[in-house]
Amino acid sequence: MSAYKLETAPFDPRFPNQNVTRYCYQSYIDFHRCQKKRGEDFAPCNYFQKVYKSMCPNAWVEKWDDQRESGTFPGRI
Amino acid sequence: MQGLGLQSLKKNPALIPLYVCVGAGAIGAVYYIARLATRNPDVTWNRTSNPEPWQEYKEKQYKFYSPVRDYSKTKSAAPNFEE
Repeated sequence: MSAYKLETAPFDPRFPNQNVTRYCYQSYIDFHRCQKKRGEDFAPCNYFQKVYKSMCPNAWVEKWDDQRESGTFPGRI
Repeated sequence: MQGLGLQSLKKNPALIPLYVCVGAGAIGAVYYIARLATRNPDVTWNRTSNPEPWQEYKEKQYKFYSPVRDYSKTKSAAPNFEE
């Protein structure tokens, strides 16, 4: 039986409060900015993906992915 | 009304603690609002020159009192991909 290593997004001093909405949104944006700037295979970008997958509600991630695909995503990427 | 001028205040010295307490409260309120307006990581005064005001807190503490963690030892774990 393999051991599962359970972990979540680390503490970030930019977002010290209980409401992590901005942490979620910032990580989502940073992941796509990182990919746009460094390419899809740049491994350090995956840190942001790990964070936003932990912090963001799945419904939001799906909505934003759809918006990005249709070109209506309101954030700056 | 008595107590509003310096002369009548000298005749009613019991009003002085009232001035002290109300003054301290007013100064505290103004200070806290000014701190929120200028230091809060969610507040920006110029959206073009400072679009993400929380970024300056990558290694800084905003909270007054932080018994749980020492902010001088914590850094944001996010990698810097801008350069």
